[in-house]
This record gives sequence, structure tokens and C-alpha cells, in this order.
Amino acid sequence: MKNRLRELRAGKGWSQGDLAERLKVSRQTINSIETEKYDPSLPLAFRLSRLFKLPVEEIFSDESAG
Amino acid sequence: MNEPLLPDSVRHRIRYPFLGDVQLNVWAILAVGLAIAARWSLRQPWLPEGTARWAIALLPLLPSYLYANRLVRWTISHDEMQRRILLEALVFAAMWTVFLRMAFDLYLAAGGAMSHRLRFGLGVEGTFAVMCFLYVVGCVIANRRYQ
Repeated sequence: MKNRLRELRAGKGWSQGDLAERLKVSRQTINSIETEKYDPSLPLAFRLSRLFKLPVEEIFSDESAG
Repeated sequence: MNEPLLPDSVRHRIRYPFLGDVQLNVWAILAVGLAIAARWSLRQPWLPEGTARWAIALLPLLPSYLYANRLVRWTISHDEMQRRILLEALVFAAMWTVFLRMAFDLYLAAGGAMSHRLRFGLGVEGTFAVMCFLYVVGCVIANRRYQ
């Protein structure tokens, strides 16, 4: 699954650690999501959505969807 | 650009939480110690038959239960990706322990040569040690997958 997390985080001027702290997850988790090695759970995706004030589908996009 | 993938404790020069690890595993250490002591005691001829033997044999179960309880709470305290890594490592360790144990027992049953200490198989302690080793291997593999 593709995502714009790195771009959105950079836009806010946050480090991975800052974002991890806001979401109450580890920095490694943020890094794995940004490098698209790990897809977050739905609750975490919604927390991201609320934090960046964007719909989930504007942060994540499904490659397999036509 | 990616930030370096170092544990936060290393990146921020926080000291390795040795005491935290000891606190987490203290019940396991106690359980193993009691199991060894119980095994030794049960072989002694001076130990009377009956309730005392049962009590000694079952004594390691209490710290084992407390360890399992602490381990579950520790696992729950992790975030979702860390929990996944732990789960993958545990499944890896459990499956390979079963396969290795079966293969080892079949090897012995087929008359395979083995050192004097292992001629009756790995035993519970040996199997546990193999599983712990495989759990560490599983953690390394799962960590690499998500980094």
C-alpha cells in the first residue's frame, strides 16, 4: 500500500520521533510505514487521518485498486 | 532521507535498560532455578514419598505462571508493529522447535549417534533452550523484514 506519510510529516516539519510521540507508537513503526514495509491497522490509519486532518484515502492508496 | 534505524535507546544515548530486562525475566530465571533444584531434589533418596515430592515437583509452576502473566502484559504494552514482530518471532520459534524436536527424536529412534548427555533426547530444558534461541533468530528476521 502506498502512502504520503513522509511528505505530510515533512510538511509539518516533524521528525519521525515527533510523529511517533503524537501517535503513541515507536519511531520504528513510523519508519516502516513510510518505507511501505508495514501497513498500519485501521485505528492507526484513522489516528493519522485525524492528525493530518485529511481523509484516510488521501494518505493511503491501494496499489491493487484500478 | 531515512533516519538511521537504531533503537531509540541507542540513538538518544539512553543506557541499555538492563534492570528492565531483569525485572521482565525475573520469574523465568526463578522458574528455571526452581526446576533445576526440584529435579535434583527429587533424585535424592532422603526425600520422603508423598505430598512433599508433589509440592517440590509443582513448585516451578508458580513462577512460570507469573512469568507468562508478565510476558503477556509486556507484549500488550508494545505498539501494533512491535506486537506483530513478537508474534512472528514466537510462531517461527514454536514451529521450528516442533520440527527440530521431531527430527531429533526420529534421528535418535533410527539409532543415530549422539553424545552421552543427549542420548535420551533434548528434554524439556533443552527444548526450551532451543526455542529461546529460535525466538531470538525469529526476532532478527522479523525486525529486518520491517526495516
